[in-house]
Amino acid sequence: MKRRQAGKGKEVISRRSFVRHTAGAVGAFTIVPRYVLGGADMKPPSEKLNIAGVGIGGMGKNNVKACEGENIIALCDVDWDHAAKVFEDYPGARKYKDYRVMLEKEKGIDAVIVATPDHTHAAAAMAAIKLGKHVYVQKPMTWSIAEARAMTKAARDAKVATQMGNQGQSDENVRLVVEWIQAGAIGQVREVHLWTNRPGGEWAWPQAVARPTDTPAAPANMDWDLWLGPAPSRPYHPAYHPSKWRGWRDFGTGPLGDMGCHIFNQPVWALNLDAPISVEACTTALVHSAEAMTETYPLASMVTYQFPAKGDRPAVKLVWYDGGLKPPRPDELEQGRKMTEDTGVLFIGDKGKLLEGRLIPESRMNEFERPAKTLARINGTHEQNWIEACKGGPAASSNFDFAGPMTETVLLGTIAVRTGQKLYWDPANMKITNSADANELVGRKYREGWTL
Amino acid sequence: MSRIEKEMTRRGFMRGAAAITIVPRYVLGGAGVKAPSERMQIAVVGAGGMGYANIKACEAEKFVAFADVDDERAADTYKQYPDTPRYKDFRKMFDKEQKNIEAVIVATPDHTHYVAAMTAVQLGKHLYCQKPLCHSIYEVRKLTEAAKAAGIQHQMGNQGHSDDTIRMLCEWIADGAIGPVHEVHTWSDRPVGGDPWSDFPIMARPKEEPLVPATMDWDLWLGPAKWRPYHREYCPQRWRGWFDFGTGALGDMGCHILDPAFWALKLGQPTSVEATTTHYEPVVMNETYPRASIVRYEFPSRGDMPAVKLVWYDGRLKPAVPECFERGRKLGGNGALLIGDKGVIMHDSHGAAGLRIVPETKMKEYKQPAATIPRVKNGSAGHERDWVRACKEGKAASANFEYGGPLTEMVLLGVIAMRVKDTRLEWDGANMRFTNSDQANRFIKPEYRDGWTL
Repeated sequence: MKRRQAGKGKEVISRRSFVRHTAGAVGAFTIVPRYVLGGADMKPPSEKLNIAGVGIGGMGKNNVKACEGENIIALCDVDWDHAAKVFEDYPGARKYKDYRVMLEKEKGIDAVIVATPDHTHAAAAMAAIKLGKHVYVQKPMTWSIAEARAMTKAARDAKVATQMGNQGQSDENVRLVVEWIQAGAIGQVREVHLWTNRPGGEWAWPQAVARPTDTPAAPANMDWDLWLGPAPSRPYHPAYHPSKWRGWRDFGTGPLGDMGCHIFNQPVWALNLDAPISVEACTTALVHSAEAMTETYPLASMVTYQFPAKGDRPAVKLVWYDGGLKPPRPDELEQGRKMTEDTGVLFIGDKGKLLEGRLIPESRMNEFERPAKTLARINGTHEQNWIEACKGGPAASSNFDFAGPMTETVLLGTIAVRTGQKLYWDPANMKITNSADANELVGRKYREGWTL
Repeated sequence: MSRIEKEMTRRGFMRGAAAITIVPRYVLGGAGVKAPSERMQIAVVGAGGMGYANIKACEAEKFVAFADVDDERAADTYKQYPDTPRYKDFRKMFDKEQKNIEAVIVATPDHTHYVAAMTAVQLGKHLYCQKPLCHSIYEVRKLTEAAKAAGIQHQMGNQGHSDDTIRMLCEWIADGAIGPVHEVHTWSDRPVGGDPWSDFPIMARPKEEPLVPATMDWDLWLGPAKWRPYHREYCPQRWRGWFDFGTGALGDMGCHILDPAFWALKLGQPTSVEATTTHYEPVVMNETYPRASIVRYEFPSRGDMPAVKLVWYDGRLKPAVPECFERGRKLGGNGALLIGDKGVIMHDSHGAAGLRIVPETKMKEYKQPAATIPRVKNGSAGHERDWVRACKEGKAASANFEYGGPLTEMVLLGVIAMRVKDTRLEWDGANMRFTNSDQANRFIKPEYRDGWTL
């Protein structure tokens, strides 16, 4: 895996002095760092970070909670009712609706957690990065490929610590998978299958529905225009907020965007997958409502990616299934043993198969001589891992140099789902080469008043 | 254009249903089977809907009795044949008209094929039965055996089987056009095809109990199926989506789309079948077929032909486009891909319509073999007449049950796999049982309602 080595080596920089190197940085910095980070003389930081949270009513509250050992100085949410409980939990944090106002007023922020809906990740995170703030951004990192590309570059240029919120990337499990596969436990891998039962299952959300036509008033304590952010304007409706936005194309990225980043990391890391050559999707459809087809993601889809050979590794075909579809049941699986309904990974090697982190059949797992643990382990939570990076530790486990390209791959699949044709991808030029329509979806024109 | 006209155009009926030369009568089949009259005397069970299309194709014959549980649904037929006796209950029709009937067309919903068809067979009548042959594997096997024993002529209504293209496919495969075939992909856009006949319900059982239309006998429509209140979500048109009545997209289209591979590759009985589906809501998944499914069959090697993996996709799912495809070439709404060691063949539904070797350069280079398999006059449009010919000549029809029965069994195995999903079901075809799933075995033979016998 590519690991950014920010904060390591000879470069001695304070976490706030980064900003001086950043184009467009504004404002003087009154706080002088009291300790020196990085290099041979590095001392353990004694100072707490000043953290702000943007989008804290939902998943964000868990991220903020995991960081409460630091100073939570500001919290921002467009819906103050939805966020009320979190505001109560942190009485010392100043409250905002608009992250732009928050960033303007709170000069002391060191690091920002962004856990808004997908469509506002990039705008909020980029504003923070440009001010030299470290960022923790929920997965998928962005709504569009162009945003992921720009944000990855901006974070690298600003030398801020970054982390995407795919917390599994900090787990032991993914490291074992990578070590075993790279040690040849199942031979050469040419095929990988990934699946989730979403948008069904325990966390179900609506998809394949038409845009509501009624226009109820937005809740009194909510700023609907801010919720929309850079997305095209439309009237408020509870069909979108809270938590139901994932199925809507303008706001979410469907099951692939939601769960893809949680499980693509295994093949991307283990097989060192760069960008795919092509991607194609087939999906279910809701008939009698063409509109529903263009508004939301379908109820089920199957996406096939082709990755080119690299080094000793052969070309890899990766297939994604959602909506309850699953890959063929492997011959090696014991009678009666089930593949998970929720979210699963199956690697197919020429010398064996690895299903959900175990060699199959179980007898093979039991006989398996585990290779040495060569990859660094992460102690503590995914958020803690990021905090350490903010304080000058090694780059976080899912820093944007890893998470950005992976998010691009995931989002390329959502474009295939939306366009239903085989797409050929030129990653260097960030271009779908065989479809102008699909290529339009690589980026997004921001609504007036919003910039990336 | 009316729905029925559309359906007929879709089936290519307009191409020609010219009267055929009547072959003189002579003794046919088993001892109890009489040679048909010059104008064969046909009774139709399920005279509305698809039955009307079958009647049109046989209009040179004489229609001696109709049965339909719904006068309204059969209105077009009745209008055209005002003098033909009509019944709601096919059992009464056979009681009264038995002596006048030489042959029977069964075009009811799937769940009543067997009871009507078996009655015809037991009375020694020639039989044309819509596809899928029956609603369950047990019924298929029993009907196939009974039809053979009775010495009657029989034809399943998968009209594409009479097409020239399916014969061409068989000839090309035998010629080694794409080398040995080890993989087949088949797909249909149903149950969400976008037309009234290709959209099936995917829903929980309706709770309201509307009045049964005055023109219909709901209890007879249910036939051997478990009783439930009438609802328009079941009939006249939307029964295909319900477990108790239809066989879903696979039952509906599988007998068309799997037909070419089944014939050309001599597939026979699979050794295993497995399905994955979009279903997860119990109130829906216990009633209707899924919005989309993928069914994976495995067939053992046969003679010098290698083992075959056959995959069915429905609900608009499709296989990935093969690497050999030209950029921009797409897969249609319904079709199949046969993957051989030396190439790929693609075709559409109904016979092997649109048959091509891909890429087109390979198609152009290919020297097509001589047509050795006898053709059916007028191809798929001549399917019903091929049956009439069989009855009159005493020579089997193209999709007779010895072929149509096993084809339907294969299709219905996939339907069972959808109901016991994500499980590889090992199939013992000879003994008609799954060796590893009691749950799946329960779907082989249905339980009939009192008053109906299997």
